[in-house]
Amino acid sequence: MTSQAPKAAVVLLIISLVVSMMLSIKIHNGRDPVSVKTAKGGNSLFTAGFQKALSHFAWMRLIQLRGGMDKVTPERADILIKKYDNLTNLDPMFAKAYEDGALDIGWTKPEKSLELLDKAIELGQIKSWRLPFTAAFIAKMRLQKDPKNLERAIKYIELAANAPDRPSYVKRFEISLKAEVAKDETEVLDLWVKYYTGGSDRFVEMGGRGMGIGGDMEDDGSRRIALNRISKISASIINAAQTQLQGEKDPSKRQALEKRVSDTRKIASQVYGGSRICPKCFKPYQAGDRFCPNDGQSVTPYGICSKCGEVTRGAFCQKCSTPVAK
Amino acid sequence: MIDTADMLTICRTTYTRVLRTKSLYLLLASVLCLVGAAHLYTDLTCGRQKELMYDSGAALITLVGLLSGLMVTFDIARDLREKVALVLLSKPLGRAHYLLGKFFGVAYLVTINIALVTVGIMAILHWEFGGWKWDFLQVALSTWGSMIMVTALGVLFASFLTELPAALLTLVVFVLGHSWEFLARTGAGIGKILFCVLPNFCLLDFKSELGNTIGVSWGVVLMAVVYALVYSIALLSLSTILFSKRDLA
Amino acid sequence: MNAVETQDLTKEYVTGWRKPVRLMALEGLGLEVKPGLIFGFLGPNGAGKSTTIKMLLGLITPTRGEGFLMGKPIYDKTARERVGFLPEDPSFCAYLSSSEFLDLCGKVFHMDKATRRKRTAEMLALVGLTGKEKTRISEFSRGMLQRIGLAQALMNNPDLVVLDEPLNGLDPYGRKELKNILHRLKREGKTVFFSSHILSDVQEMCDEVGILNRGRMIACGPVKDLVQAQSVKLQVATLSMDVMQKIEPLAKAITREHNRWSIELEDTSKQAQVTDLLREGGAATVEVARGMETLEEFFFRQIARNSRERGFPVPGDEPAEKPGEKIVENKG
Repeated sequence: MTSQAPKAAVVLLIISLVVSMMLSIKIHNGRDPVSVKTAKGGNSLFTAGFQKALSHFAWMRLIQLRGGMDKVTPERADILIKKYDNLTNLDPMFAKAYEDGALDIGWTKPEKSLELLDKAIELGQIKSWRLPFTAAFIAKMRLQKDPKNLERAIKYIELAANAPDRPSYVKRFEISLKAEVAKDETEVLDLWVKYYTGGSDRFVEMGGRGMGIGGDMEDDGSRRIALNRISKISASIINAAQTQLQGEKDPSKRQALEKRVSDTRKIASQVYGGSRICPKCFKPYQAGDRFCPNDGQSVTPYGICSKCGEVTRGAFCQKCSTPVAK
Repeated sequence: MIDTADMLTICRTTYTRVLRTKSLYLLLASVLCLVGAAHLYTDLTCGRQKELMYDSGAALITLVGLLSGLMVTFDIARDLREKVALVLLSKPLGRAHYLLGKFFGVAYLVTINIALVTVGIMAILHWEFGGWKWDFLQVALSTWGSMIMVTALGVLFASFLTELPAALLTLVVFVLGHSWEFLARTGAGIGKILFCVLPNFCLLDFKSELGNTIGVSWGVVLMAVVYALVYSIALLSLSTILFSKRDLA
Repeated sequence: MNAVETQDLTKEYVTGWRKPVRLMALEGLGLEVKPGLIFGFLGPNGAGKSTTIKMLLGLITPTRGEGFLMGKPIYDKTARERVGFLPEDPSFCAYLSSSEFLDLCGKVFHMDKATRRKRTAEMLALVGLTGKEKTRISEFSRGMLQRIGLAQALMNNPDLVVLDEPLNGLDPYGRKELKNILHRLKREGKTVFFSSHILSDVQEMCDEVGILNRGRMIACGPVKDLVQAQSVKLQVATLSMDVMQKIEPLAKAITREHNRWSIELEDTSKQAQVTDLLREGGAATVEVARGMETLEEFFFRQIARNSRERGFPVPGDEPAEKPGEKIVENKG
């Protein structure tokens, strides 16, 4: 070792240390801090960058543990809570773990279940609609006695409803939750109409990817369900208004009720694209129908040729070409 | 200033020595078997076998690199214990050349091993799931960078400690070096200075992000690798200073 | 230009962290070894021999003082270009074969491939390892390790060969071969600087020796100058009772052997006085025989004297039995 070598080494040490410091700042700033924090989780002190791989082992052990439990008792739920917490600390982006964990303990410890889902939601990085939907479901089903939890469920379902790729039943669930806290039926009708006119066609259909709770809800298609709801609520509003009208003497109140009836009719009619609707059940009936196919109510027929009596859907009779009133 | 011939001589000898370590081949074979067998874990993971293979592949690259890199601590210490270092350094061979030769010999082994395992894992992923996971190369490259830093750390500790403490200390710094992220988040200036000065392996850890399909730009990965190389130069300079003062009794 | 030269070479170790303890391994060593000599470096264990050698070779940094090898300062790595070194109890690169190891040493000396190959064959032949070129060093016995160590030390055809305990682990044949090699090196004009505990071999081989005790050089010089005539035996044909009585207090023993009187003197300083007494008494001296001291005796004497002077226990001294105290044999 010559006496010059350490001096050169000292110079090199200083230069390289300064450059590495500059680089470390640049790399740190170049990385998305949220992604770094999200991806690496909370307990990375002794995981040495192996947290993602370790999460798989924790997951496999958890599956075995769950498999061995026939029933989730409160004591077992506590064990599961701890395991799921550790697992999601190792891999905070593990969406399935949050969902499965919340459902596992949701019945026994709903509050803890929601805490687990909150942990995922607060990350803001998991784009899945399933987590807030599950949270809304647990909040609604298990904690419905307290009105505050209904608001909580609405908060969750709004997140789920705004998430990309969510199925249409999420939105319907949102409306049904909001309907529970709505002031009156008009507000509920407005929600359904908005949903319907918002364009149900763009919503993703279930396609068998459901969680088992939505299969029946989706059988008839979201559009038809929405229409059914609109019809039912319209009928309910109009019937209620008409009942009130019978006993109402105050002209201003009568006027308001009449307006409500006519507005509701208008809304229902618009929703059905101008189709004739049954005055009782507010469901559309087809050209040539003399009675509502839904409730048998006598309806004003339309689409019948005044000349030859042929039922037609067009503007002219198919048989004699006579103009037909719609 | 640096005689490359001397350094290459030590580098080749070191590489020959570590290459003759049979346990390394066993490790390489077991790593590939383990990743290859991951498709058997479909039921165990409830359909997460693809993620499992990707993440365990990334972890195993780290493991292979780490064990290869740590060999430098044992190699230098064994040289000193068996007086091979005394024999070589009593000849006109600079201590800096000796240390750098050791570093490059082990770094070469680290490179070869990481490349082999990367190719193996990428081939397995391709065979299992089709398509090439090119982002896995980002994992491999950043892991290579951190393993070069581990090797330089090993050289540093072996320059003044015996093999076991040197290896343990290298391992401890490697583990803790993944946790300095919190220092950057502290508002205090000292925290940020420590974040920049301490060997920061979290800057080179992209496994979690890439495993979670959070994209990382190649620019950041390459910058991280440059950081690892520059920091390794700093570590090697410090090793040279310390080793030049060490009495080789 | 001396082959080895040191001035005030000192090494002090500080051990311990909380309560540092200072240990003087070598204190102000001044040494000059002329080229072409075999120099023996002696001393009990812990005297500082290996420390000195390692400082000379740049393996240990001196606390103070200077050292020169072939005229170049010891911190200059080019000083070691003309030096060969064999450490004490080496094990070398066990994973290499003997020829690979010598090739590695040749590379460090920047030899070209042909020279390395030639020197490797020559060195293996010199140390009697021809035929073991492909044998891994891990398979070598202790004696073979010393041989391969010597071969690597001579690989660069050095002007100065530094050997730390080279005779360790060698059988009598090995020792004889090593001595032959060292004599051959001397004949070739090379300097050999070696430490050893086998003093009879040192006395036989070395031109000069230096003795270290607890970090200090206590004796240094040509072997023949250091070892003294220690006892004298005078033989006379006749010896009267009167003369005998006068001589008796000065003599160690007076005996009669084959019609001659033999007078043994413990110290050569009394020889003149006894000779005068004999001459006065008319006894003619037939023969004077001087008993020479061995290097081993000289070594022990010097170490004992230096240790006592410096208040250290003399190495090898048994603890004295106090009056009235009996050593009880432990039969348990």
